[in-house]
Amino acid sequence: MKALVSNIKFYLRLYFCLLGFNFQSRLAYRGEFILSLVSVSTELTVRLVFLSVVYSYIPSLAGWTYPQMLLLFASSFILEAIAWFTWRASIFKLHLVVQDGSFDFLMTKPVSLLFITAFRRMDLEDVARVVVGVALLMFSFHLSGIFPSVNQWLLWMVGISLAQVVYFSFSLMLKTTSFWTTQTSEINYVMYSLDRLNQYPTHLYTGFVRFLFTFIIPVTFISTLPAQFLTGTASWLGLLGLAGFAGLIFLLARWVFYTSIKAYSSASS
Amino acid sequence: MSSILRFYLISIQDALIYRWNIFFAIIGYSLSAMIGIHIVQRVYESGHQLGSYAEQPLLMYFLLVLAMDSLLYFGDAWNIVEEIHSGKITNFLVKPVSYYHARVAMYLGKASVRFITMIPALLLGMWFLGIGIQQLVGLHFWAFVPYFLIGLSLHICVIIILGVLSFPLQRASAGIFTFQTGIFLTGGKFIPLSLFPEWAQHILTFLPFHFMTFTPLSILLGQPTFLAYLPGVAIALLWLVGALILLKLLWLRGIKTYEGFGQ
Amino acid sequence: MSTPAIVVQNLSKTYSVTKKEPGVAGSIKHLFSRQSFSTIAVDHISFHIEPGELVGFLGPNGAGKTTTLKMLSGILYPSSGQVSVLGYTPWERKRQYQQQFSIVLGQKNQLWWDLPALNSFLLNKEIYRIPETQFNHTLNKLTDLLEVKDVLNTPVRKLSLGQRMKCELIAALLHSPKVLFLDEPTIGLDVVSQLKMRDFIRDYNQTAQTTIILTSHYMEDVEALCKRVIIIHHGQLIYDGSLQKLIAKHADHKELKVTFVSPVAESQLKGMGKILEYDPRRVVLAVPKKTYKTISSDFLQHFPVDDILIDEPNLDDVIRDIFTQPQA
Repeated sequence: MKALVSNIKFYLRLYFCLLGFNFQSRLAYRGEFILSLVSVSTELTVRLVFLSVVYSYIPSLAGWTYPQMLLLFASSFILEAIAWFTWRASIFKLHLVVQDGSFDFLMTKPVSLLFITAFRRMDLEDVARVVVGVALLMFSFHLSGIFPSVNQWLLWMVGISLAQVVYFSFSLMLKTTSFWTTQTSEINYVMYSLDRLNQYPTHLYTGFVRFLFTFIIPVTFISTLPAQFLTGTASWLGLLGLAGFAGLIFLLARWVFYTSIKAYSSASS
Repeated sequence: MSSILRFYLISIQDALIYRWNIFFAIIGYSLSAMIGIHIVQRVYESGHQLGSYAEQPLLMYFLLVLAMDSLLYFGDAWNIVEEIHSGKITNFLVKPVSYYHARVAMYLGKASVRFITMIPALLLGMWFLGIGIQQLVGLHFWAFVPYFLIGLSLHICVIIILGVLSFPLQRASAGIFTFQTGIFLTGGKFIPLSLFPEWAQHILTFLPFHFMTFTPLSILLGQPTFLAYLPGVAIALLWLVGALILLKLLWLRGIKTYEGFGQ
Repeated sequence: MSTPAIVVQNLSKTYSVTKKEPGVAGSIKHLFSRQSFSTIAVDHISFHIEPGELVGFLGPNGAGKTTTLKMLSGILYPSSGQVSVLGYTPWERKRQYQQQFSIVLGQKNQLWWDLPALNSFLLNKEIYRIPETQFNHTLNKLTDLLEVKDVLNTPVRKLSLGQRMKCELIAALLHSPKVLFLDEPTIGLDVVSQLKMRDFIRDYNQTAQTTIILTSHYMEDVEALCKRVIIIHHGQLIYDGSLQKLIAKHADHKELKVTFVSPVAESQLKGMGKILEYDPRRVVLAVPKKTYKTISSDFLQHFPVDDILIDEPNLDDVIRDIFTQPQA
């Protein structure tokens, strides 16, 4: 127990140390940092424009009203912001780390390889997503006049953390499988499309596609379900399912990661 | 001419080596396309409709966006930045070929491979949506070509300009990305522009970007909007001329800065 | 005899590469069928290294030096064979082992590019759980010795190659590793920096009693630092022993450098030894060790000699000699 606590302390210190470094190196290029903020904001605006154009013709889409859909958007912006603040840039740029050889150094460090792989780079300009997310939440409550209960907020917070685990595990699996192929960035295209998929409820899809976006590309668990805690259309039972899925996919991703590391270090010279 | 052809072929080879890039790009686009398609399905299922569109042309629109995506892609803007940074561009400067001509040839080479790779995805999508293959025959292909060529020329100009303009930035991707997203929206990639409020469409007439997706596709589907008529075309051509002049200026200036920057 | 720090037995590493024919046709063919063949990077290598030893790995590029070091670091899995470093199997990547060794790859860097080197040191302090006082003490000592105190707060990308290499070395030594792998630590450095680096490595090895394996293709590095060398060629170990013996064994001759007062024709020098360089006023000869004394006195008697210099052949030539010899 004591060992566990000291371990957690150790990794937290390491995380904040890395976060600080990322902050500093971002500030080294201040102009670019501001440009990145502009870039993120443009992206968010464009997505919102699309949504409001569609809703100008219809009252609800696949059972989701406009304010509810805004909640989903907000929830997924916040989810993405947390992802960028923690693991996402590291996983996206994993192929670069492998190509330039820094990964070799990571492999010799006396810390969890998964940890140091996942938390090396953080993209701080994505703080814009939190701002937009919170503003959208407010706007949605204003439109619908419905404010979630404390219970709903709690469910959402736990849900979004578990969803983060699912999101991380899925992305990690996608990225590490490229260890076996070419160590390039190609898989990022699929990961980028996930950004957009995360902004729409999986109730849009039917049949096989619904299955695909629930269990194979787990959009349901990453974004739809957490947002449903806020709209009040999912309960504790949903959280249980999410927790179970998160646990399973994390173990699977961890296994895939270490297996592919072994394959990588057996295959290269 | 033969050296340009050589660049075209080299680019095809290169694209084949990085075939997974193209394959995954198409998968990524297809996944994104699913959103639009399913939104349309749910809307029409519930008895509503988007603008004056019937369901099938709209579905077809989203599928054809996939084809346009394969032909008009932004990746080369990054390649240009990379070529300038790494100094590979000097290979072109010392040879008796125009860098721009070589770049265009290389762009078209990759576009060819992308287009061919995309066809199965398009056919799969049509089958999935129950759209018969005869629908492809009914497209207004010949009317589409001139519009498409204007759009393609504009697109290539934009890419080269973006690449050349953003190379001094340490993180050029942010600048390119912003433009790309903006062009996606104002070009009609996410949603047909005729669904926008009328005032917005009037503003779009003054921009050339609708030529990069929406206008050629609406011609192809036989449902041209006012954007496809003379004022729109004239404005787009003006933009194209402007872009070409800008390219020329950038090149003249760029060579100077590059020599200063040279390593 | 203490137990060896490093034991390597029959270590081998094979990997496969794919080949593509040129042209569009070749590319399309490559889409469907790939020709792959395997390359042997390291071929049944065995050796022992005692604690505190400083051993030089020699060999031309692609001989398998770096691959061997990477296997000893646990970065690569071997195809076969056993390795024990400080009693650990490297590729199990046990924390206890990782805590006790370091690797420096001269052509790659582990420092954060945009940040001052000090940040990377602080990160290593966290990673290796180095206590504050020990960290400060070690850092002070190392920065003093390597004379990089004043650049600690400069972003790494603005450092010169020499300064950067020194910082890489500090980053690797902060946790006082018992075993250190240095892969081409002096590559690309100017002569002064090379000398500094060399002095530092020698002193560090002596004072800290760290076991060091050093690869370099600068013979001077190895000559200056290592008593023992291991030579690898085409993945195979072709020599393991003292540097002196190597020179004695393969350099069975000495170099005679003779300068003349007046010109001497090349034909007159026949029978004196193998001519390496010739100029009417100066000649360099390779002379068998057994006869160099008589030959030099012959010179003094029969030629208008201004000066005679007797030299050991340098290691470069010895190595080249070994590599060009047909292998048994």
